[in-house]
Amino acid sequence: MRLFEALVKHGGQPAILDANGASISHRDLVEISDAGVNGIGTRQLVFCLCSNSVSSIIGYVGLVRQDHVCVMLPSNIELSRLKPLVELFQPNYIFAPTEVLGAFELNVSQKVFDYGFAQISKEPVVMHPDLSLLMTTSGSTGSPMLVRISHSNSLSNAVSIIESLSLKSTDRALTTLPMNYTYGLSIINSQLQIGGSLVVSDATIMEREFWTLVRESGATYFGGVPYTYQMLQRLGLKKLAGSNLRMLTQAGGKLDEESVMRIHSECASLGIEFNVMYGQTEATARISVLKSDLVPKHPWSIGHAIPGGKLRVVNTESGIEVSQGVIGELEYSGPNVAMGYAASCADLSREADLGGTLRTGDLAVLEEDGFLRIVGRRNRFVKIFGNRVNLDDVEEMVTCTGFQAACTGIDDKITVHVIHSGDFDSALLQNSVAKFIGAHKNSIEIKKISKIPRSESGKVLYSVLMGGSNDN
Amino acid sequence: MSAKKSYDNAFIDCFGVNAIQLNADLTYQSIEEWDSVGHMALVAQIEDVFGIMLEMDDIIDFSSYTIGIETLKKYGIEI
Repeated sequence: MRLFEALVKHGGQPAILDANGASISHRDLVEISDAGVNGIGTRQLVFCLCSNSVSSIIGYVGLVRQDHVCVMLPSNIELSRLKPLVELFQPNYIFAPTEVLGAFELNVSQKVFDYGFAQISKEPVVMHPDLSLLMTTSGSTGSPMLVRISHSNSLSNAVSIIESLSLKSTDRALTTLPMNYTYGLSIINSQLQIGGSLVVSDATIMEREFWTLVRESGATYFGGVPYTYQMLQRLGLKKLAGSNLRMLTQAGGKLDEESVMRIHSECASLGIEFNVMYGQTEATARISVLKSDLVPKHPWSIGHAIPGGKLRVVNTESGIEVSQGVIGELEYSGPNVAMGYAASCADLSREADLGGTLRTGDLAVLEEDGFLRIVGRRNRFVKIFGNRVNLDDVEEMVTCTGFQAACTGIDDKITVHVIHSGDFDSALLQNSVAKFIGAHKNSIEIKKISKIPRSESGKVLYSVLMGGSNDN
Repeated sequence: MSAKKSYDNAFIDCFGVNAIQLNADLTYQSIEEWDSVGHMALVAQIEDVFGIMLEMDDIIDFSSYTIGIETLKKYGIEI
């Protein structure tokens, strides 16, 4: 059984509503999406350059239904990032807005409204029969590493999300997150699976269109990353009053406890649920949900594993479960654990390597009340506005430009500690780091230091740089 | 510093643009730097330098360099 296989059973229910109020039923979506991909051959590897547009969703649904394999990428991808991916993965087609294909000087062989297919290679790609999707994990840094997601991963995660959030066919989700981002895609998948609707718009929360849609489209929920909620708090959550919203969800990094409490209470006064969630691309998307009614007592917790999944805190080395109160690595098992990674097209034929169990890389502790708390990362990744960034990559990049430097970071903020005597252009460095990670320069801080603190064995003491004690 | 200079500096600081780009064509998402994250930074800087708090509607409608000048008039600031 595959995702979208049974869409037709939802019949005339609206599947897609656009900003102008036009709608496409589930039955029509099946017809249009199948026709849209008809003619590209069988089981092709397709780079999908996604946007929150009707054509992008139609193409994706058709490709998944017809058993093609999609590599999900953003439609505003730079050619310098796309090229190495094309060389490594040798896709058969690129599915993108026709104007993007035009800008890349590619010929459109088949159109789906304002999107089109451009054939890149006729060479068949050997792919494992279970493989359905390839998602990126990190932002633009480091070597491209895609996560291999099977048909059953997508379907099981969609079903678990439906159950944990009590989604119904009457729900309408507003597309606030990129479709090439697992969290955004999981909303599309679960909404279509349950027979609900998507209100499709690429308007950001900073645009009038978004607020018009909130009031007029009948949207019942939308999702956001921590930054979305920081913006919402600044704009004022009371502006959500008078809408049909019944729920907001938050994932994509840790939102501070105080904000969680404040947003929950403001939402509660508007009769809106605020569900805090945790997930990873390697788990297709969702791992756990802290239901709105549990937020006031446990605002620091990641909540409970989704139906069908299991969370444990284990010793990083031995893999043995640790006692309550002891910090260990968070381990998740469930049917949504991805098949594994792919660094090039040679990996696409591999069997599932992860075996249904995922070491999340997050350090966690099971508190006395039985709720899980995440206390840090085992490795040096931070999320910058939803993009995973490896601090070691940033450090290497800065070092390569001739600086002695060490990088620390928390979600949405990277600090580059640079040794430099005298004047240097910190704005220039700030800009080049921002470009490197593909984020706004305000998320980068450049700090001058006189020396990099190191342990006796020479390891950089990042905790000292972050103002903490010398404990590692 | 004149109000105009403070206003212009906010754009130059937040988006790394040149003075020559400060015109009606500088709109939300017309350049990579002016995304939603950049927008919040711009709003924060303008609020700081002029000592004001923008209303939600004004933050959302602050979608170009020239519209911003009109918006600030409501707060008694002439650019």
